Amino acid sequence: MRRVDPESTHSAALTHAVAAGARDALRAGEPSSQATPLGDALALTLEAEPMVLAGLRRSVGLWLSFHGVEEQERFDLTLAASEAAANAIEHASGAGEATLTVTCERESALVRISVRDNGRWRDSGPYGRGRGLAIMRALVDSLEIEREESGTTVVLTKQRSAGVA
Amino acid sequence: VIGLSVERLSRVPVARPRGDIDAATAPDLHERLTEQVSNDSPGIVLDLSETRYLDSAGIDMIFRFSERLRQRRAELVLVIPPTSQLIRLAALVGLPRAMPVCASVEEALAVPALARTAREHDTSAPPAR
Repeated sequence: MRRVDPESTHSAALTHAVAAGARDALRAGEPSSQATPLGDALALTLEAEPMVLAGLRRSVGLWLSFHGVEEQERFDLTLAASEAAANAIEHASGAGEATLTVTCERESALVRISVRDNGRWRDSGPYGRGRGLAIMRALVDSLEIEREESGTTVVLTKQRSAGVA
Repeated sequence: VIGLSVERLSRVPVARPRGDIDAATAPDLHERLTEQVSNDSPGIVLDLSETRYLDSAGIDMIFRFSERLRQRRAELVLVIPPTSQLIRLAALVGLPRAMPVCASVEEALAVPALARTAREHDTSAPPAR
C-alpha cells in the first residue's frame, strides 16, 4: 500500500531533474525492469555534462527517500551514482551528442542503480579517476562494469540494512 | 558556479562553499579559494558545514590545494561538523592524514599553524587598552 501516489512523486523528482526526455524514458520503461511496477523504478536521461550532476543527485536522493532509504545509505548510493555518472561524462568527451542514462530500481531490500553511457572507457584516465572507483566500491555492496561496443554500464547494488518497506 | 562566503578572522580567511563540490564546481572553487590566500596569510579554513556532497573531483581539488599551500608554507584546515555524512567519506579517502580536519571553525583557528601566526599578528599590533 502506498500513501503517496508514485506517479506524482516521480513528477516531483523529475521536475528537479535537469533531464530532458526523462519522462519519456520512464514511460517507455527499461527492458531490465520487466518485473518491477512503474513506481519502483526511476529512469533519467541526461546530457553528458558535469552541470547535470547536482540535479542527478537531487533526483536520486528524492527517489531513495520516497522508498524509505535511511540517510546514511541514501548518501552512499547517491554519491556512488554521481561518481559513476562523472566517470561516464569524462569518457564521453568529444563524442558529439553524448548522453547517459541512470536507472534506479528496487527489489525488496535491494537497491540497484545503473549508469549507462554511449562512450568507451579509457583504461588510463586522467588523474583522479582511481579515487572515484575506490569511493564507489566502498559505498556500495557491489560494483560491476560492463563494457560493450555501444557503451559502458556501471551497475551499483546495495542491500538496505533496515526499514524494509 | 557555487556560492562562497568568506569571512576574514585575523589574517586567516574562513571560506564556506554553499553547496556541493563536484566535477562541475571544483575547478572554479579551486581558483577562488587560491585568490583568498594572500602571501602573508598563514593559510585558510575551508568550512564544509554547508556542503552535502563532495565527489572525487572535489576531493582531488582539496588534496591539490593543500599541497600547493604547503609549498607556500601555508596550511589548509578543513571543518566538517560531526553530524555530516562527509566525516565517513573524509576518513575513507584519508583527508585527516593529509591535513587538519576540525569539528568547528573555532577549533580550526586554534590549529597551531594558523594560531601561531595569528598570535604573531596580534603582538605586532598596538596593545589594546
